[in-house]
Amino acid sequence: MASAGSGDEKAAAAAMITLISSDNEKFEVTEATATLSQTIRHMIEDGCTDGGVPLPNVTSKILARVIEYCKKHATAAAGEEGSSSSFSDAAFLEVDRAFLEELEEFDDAFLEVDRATLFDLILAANYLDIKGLLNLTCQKVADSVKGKTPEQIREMYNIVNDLTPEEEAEIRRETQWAFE
Amino acid sequence: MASYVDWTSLPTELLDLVSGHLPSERDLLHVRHVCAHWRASITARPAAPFRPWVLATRTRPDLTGPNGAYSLWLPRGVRAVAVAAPTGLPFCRGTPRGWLALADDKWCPTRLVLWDPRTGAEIPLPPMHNVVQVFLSGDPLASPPPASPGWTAVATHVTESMDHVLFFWRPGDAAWTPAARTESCNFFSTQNAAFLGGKMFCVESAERIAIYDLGEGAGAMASSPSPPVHLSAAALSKAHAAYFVAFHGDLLLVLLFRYRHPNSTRVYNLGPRGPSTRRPYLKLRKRDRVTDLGSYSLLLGRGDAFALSAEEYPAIRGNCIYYVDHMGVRKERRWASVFDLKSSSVMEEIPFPPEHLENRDEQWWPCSWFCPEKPVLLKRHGTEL
Repeated sequence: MASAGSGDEKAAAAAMITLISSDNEKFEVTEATATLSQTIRHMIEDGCTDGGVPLPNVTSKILARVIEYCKKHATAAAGEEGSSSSFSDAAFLEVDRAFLEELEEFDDAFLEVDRATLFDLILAANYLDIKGLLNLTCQKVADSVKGKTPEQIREMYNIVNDLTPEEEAEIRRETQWAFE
Repeated sequence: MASYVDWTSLPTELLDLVSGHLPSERDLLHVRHVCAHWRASITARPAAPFRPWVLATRTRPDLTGPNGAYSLWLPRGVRAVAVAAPTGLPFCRGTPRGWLALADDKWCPTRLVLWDPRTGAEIPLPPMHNVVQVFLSGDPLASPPPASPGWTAVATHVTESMDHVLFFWRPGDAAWTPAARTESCNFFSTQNAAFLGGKMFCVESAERIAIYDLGEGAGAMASSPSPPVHLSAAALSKAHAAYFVAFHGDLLLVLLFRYRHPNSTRVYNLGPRGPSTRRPYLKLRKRDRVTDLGSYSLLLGRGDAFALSAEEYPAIRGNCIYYVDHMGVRKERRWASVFDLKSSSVMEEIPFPPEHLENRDEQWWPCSWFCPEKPVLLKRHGTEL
């Protein structure tokens, strides 16, 4: 789909940005990919990306994953822009639908990570201000606690129950009300 | 695990974000019970401990005309549910698909608004006088055409002769369009309609049903709604109330026999295409009777009727009919009744809450069931419970 892009797209693709992880690894990405991050978009707008964009809060391991996500979704965004002019075309609709399905599959596979990586991805998505990725990762955490008891959630996330007896009593009242 | 992370260190605003994705009130209560940090961080609290709710009206429900001011209650009517509804719109004209249709005046609204309590989204509809009930053929927040067929708002309008006229409105229309038909109808007092496969099914009178093809479709495929196909339905005349319900791609017809002995209910599955229109009458066959909906229950009241699963909604039991007594007679005033589907008999009668009876100024009348699609959250520093 990207190969069928317009001249403007090719020009945008030519502009490359260098991202530098906390452990000093450099990643070359297109501007279209990088600007999925609002944080980086603002830096580009302010013209302070010469010599690379240092991202002291993101390790190379996590940054590589984030870039993987942004690359895929940047292509999707370009596809959407292209489709808006000819949206009544049924054939195009089919292509669009297939692509959206593919994107969904990509997202599902992308989230097949351990809890530590998920945690770091949430923090990175928040720091880089990538709305789609933040939504996706928060949804994943929400799905993981769905239908679980507080004790099961603590076990899953290695959390110690540090609620005071007063807080426990308050919670009991809340819960009681919930099922009265 | 290669690296250990401390999930209690997840920043407050991110935990709050996670809680916004939780599907049920029970899950929200549980995550707030995990540890002190999570409890302090997750500020969003459900507006009520569970759904569904009962929508009640200030004045005695009007069988043909619009109702009075509205309020929301837990199922037994003993505890009100506070939601951050838009102000200046005290009248409710329907609870379609988890939305509220709200108006600023009982008879002559200057504002008619669809409001989604889950997202806070508001969609203005053209104001129209004498609107009784508003329905939606699809969720307005679903993807727009051409990806989906779009949606149609349907309003019933009561005339001076107490007949009803249907009006249709689609996003982008300047005004409501009256249904193409040759005669006026008297909408059954259940004010009920169900949508399935691009069609609208309504119980139009005590002995007739109507089917409209809404003509929804992408671009040039869309057309205006067709004139209705009528089927006479003698079986309805013996019932106290009748409702169409769309249930997992099938159309159900529910008949309630009330205030006579024995009180009972009958549910028929009319299939994915609804009743056959080859004959001019509705044929209810014994073999289409349904007595087992598994974990699902049907919630019936004025306007939209719908199904919920007891597995997802712990406040209700499975395989029941929850009937909010919106057209009860004065002598036998009840708030709601629960029918067991298997035996088709009344399993529980929920009495009128005493506080509604004792103080006439504080009296509310149950009208419809209302179930937002996801928990409605209140911020702790916002509206207090």
